Amino acid sequence: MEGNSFIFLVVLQQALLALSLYIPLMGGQLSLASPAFFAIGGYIAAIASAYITEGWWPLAEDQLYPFGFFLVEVVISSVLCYGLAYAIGRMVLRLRGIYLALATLALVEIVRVLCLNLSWTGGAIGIFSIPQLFAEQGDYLWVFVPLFAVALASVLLLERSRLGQALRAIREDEYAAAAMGIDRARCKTLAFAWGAVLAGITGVASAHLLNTWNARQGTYESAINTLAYVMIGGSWSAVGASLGAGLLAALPEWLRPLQDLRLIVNGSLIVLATLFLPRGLIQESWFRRRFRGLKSRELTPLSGTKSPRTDEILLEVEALTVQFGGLRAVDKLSFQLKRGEILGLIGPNGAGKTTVFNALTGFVPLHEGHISWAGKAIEHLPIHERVHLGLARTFQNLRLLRQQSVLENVLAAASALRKHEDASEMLYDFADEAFTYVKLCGLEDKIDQLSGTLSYGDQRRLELARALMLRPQVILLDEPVAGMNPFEKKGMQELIRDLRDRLGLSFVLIEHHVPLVMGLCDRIAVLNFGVLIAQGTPAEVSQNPDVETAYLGKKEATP
Amino acid sequence: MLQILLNGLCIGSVYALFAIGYALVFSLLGVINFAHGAVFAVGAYLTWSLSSGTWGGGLWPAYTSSFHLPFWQAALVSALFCALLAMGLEKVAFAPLRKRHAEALQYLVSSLGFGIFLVNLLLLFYGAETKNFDLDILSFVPPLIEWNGLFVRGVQLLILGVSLISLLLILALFRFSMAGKGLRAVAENPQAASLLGIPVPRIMSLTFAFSGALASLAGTLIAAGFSIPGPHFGMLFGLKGLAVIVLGGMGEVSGAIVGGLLLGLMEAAVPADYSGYKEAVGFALLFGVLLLRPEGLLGRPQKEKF
Repeated sequence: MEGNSFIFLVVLQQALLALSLYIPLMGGQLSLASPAFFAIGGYIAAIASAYITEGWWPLAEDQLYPFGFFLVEVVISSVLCYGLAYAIGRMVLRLRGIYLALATLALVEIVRVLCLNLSWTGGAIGIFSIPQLFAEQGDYLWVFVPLFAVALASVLLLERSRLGQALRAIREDEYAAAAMGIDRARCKTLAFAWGAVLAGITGVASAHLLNTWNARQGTYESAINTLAYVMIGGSWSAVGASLGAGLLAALPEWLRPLQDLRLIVNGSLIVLATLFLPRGLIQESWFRRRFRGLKSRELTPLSGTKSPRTDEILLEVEALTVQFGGLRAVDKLSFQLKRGEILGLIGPNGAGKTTVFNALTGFVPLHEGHISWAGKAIEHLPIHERVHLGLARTFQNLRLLRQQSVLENVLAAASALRKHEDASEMLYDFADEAFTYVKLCGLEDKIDQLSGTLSYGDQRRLELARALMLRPQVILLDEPVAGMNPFEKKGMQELIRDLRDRLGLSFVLIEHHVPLVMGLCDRIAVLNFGVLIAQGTPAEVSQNPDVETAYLGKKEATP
Repeated sequence: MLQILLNGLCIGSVYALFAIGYALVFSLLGVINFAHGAVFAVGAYLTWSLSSGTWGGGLWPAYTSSFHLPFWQAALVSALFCALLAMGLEKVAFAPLRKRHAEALQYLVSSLGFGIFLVNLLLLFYGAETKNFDLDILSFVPPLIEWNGLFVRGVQLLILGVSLISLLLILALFRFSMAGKGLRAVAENPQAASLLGIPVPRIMSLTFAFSGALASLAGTLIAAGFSIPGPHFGMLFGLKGLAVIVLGGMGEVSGAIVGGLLLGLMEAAVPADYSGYKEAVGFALLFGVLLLRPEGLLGRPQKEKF
């Protein structure tokens, strides 16, 4: 019985560590730092309890360590780990993928070597006789079971919150997430810090459980083992990560009859599992939420706009220059966009049209020039803050969250709506509004379909629906009808006009399909080699000889 | 000062040799082969057994055969064996994932599983005790040379000589041979390379074989120069190798060389009073480099298309 409860404790401990790794992984951040914070938590428990029992609360023989002090240690460890992780996170979280993994692995090793050498961590020997909370080892379940329950419940709640959805969006496509107004640095740092707090608390509890703490706790090996467990358990859901990890961690204990062979079997199982269970033991699709009974809402025009078109200048671009190395992709471009206006941006391939969008939204830095939004300079703002002002965009190359359903894609855009607009923290409260835009874009029959499986045209419509969810004032549309049939093109044209007329939205439109541009735009700007060569009404532009030359080349002089 | 330089170059050149294996695989697949350190350990043990004639010692009872090879031949046989082993590793833990375009994380986990398997196999067979090369196996180099107050162990010269020659050969191989050009083509764009008639699966196999042989060679040299402190030292050395390729730039052979030498020199420069912190030097360096130059010293930054 004693053996069984120990296995169960190991399972819970590994499951907690797996959760602490899973929290940053929700945002696609492969951080292996958990063991470092686990070790730090353990040392805090060891040092604090020694200080307490040696100083002003001496324990008699066989006397147990008061639970209140344990809670104090938990608080100290949480505060310290949060602060430390927040500071480190700010530094390392701009690293991607394997680079972040290596940087955090380095952190684990640095912490280990420090603890091995510093005198107040006990050096190589570590710290002994940490006071016990319970007389029996099995009673530590009273700490670990509630701890795990609370941790799992919070992570499940997090998954359904707006922060969780924001993290999920970052995991699937960081730039799509930025275009949805998600503050990537903030979300990643928060996830990193909360993962660290959980690892720290697990360390505090484990130090009391083990009675001794040294630099062998929290090594890089345990870091990559935990990662393997999470991947095999299922890295796309908290249940998969924690349960799978716990079970796999218990495997060597269950395999004890095999004695020395057990780790070999464990290694082979890890290989087999990655080969045959690509998405893990516990699959995310089992938890996929289906949406029923959603109601479309009445569309409300943008606040303060009586008629859709006004003379108010929303967006103004002055001498915008973008340079890549020696190449001037955009050269001293200036234009204005009025409220309720549809401006076409046309030009041959490679003219720099998409680069203009990238510069306006903050995806590429500008070399010179100014961008102002309702009179305020915005060129120094990060991507997500421009989105919050009301500047949304779609992507020519389609950046949807391909593993998520149509409605989830639109909902994801609600994850960054600012707090003062809506008090709700839970994402599903936005489902009706999201459905409104989905329906508006003609996708109401496909709300549960994975966006990666949609047709090309549907994906473009979904990009627009997602942009609408940001409650924008200006939408930059990058080739919204590319790949659509004539009937669909017509529909999109009407939709854009309708959105302008009913909501007072303004658009900048990049498009190669000339009838659409001519039929829809109030004004057209023509770019060639990054330079503005013509600007005016559709009629003016179509008669401009420079435009003809740019598109068709110079007429040969007839001899 | 000269002593530090020599010691640093000696260990650094082995780091470089080892890390090239990582760099090659990374340049092809964009993933890290976590079993590389285990192959390194296999190579070290195999050379030790072949040259001393001693096998087993763990669960398997220790057994000494009269058959043993000279050091050079033992190192060569073990390099060949590890080349085959690494090819097997590619077939088992990499090729199936490549076929289904798995995410990079999964390669990491499958190769890690393979590494755990290998290390524990070694543990089962050899036990956890430290193994040393007998002096008479290495008797072809003088034990200690003193020159103008500079102390050089003969083994150090051996290590330095072998690894520097190998490094030069490797660089030449990649510049000029067809296989080297093929590898660079596959690294650049596997689809295009395949369309050009370059046998991509064979290049993959060859690359793994080559990195396995290098790992074995590095393992042999480290074991000869120091000792084998148990099967797990492969994994720890593997981690240092990661620091090396990050320092140099992930997919670059020349980066691995620069990074390896740099790490060796930095470690050798740690004063004896702080030798406990030596193990952390590489990681502190790695951390710093990643913060200042995420693409590594010689790496090229990646561009995202919107």
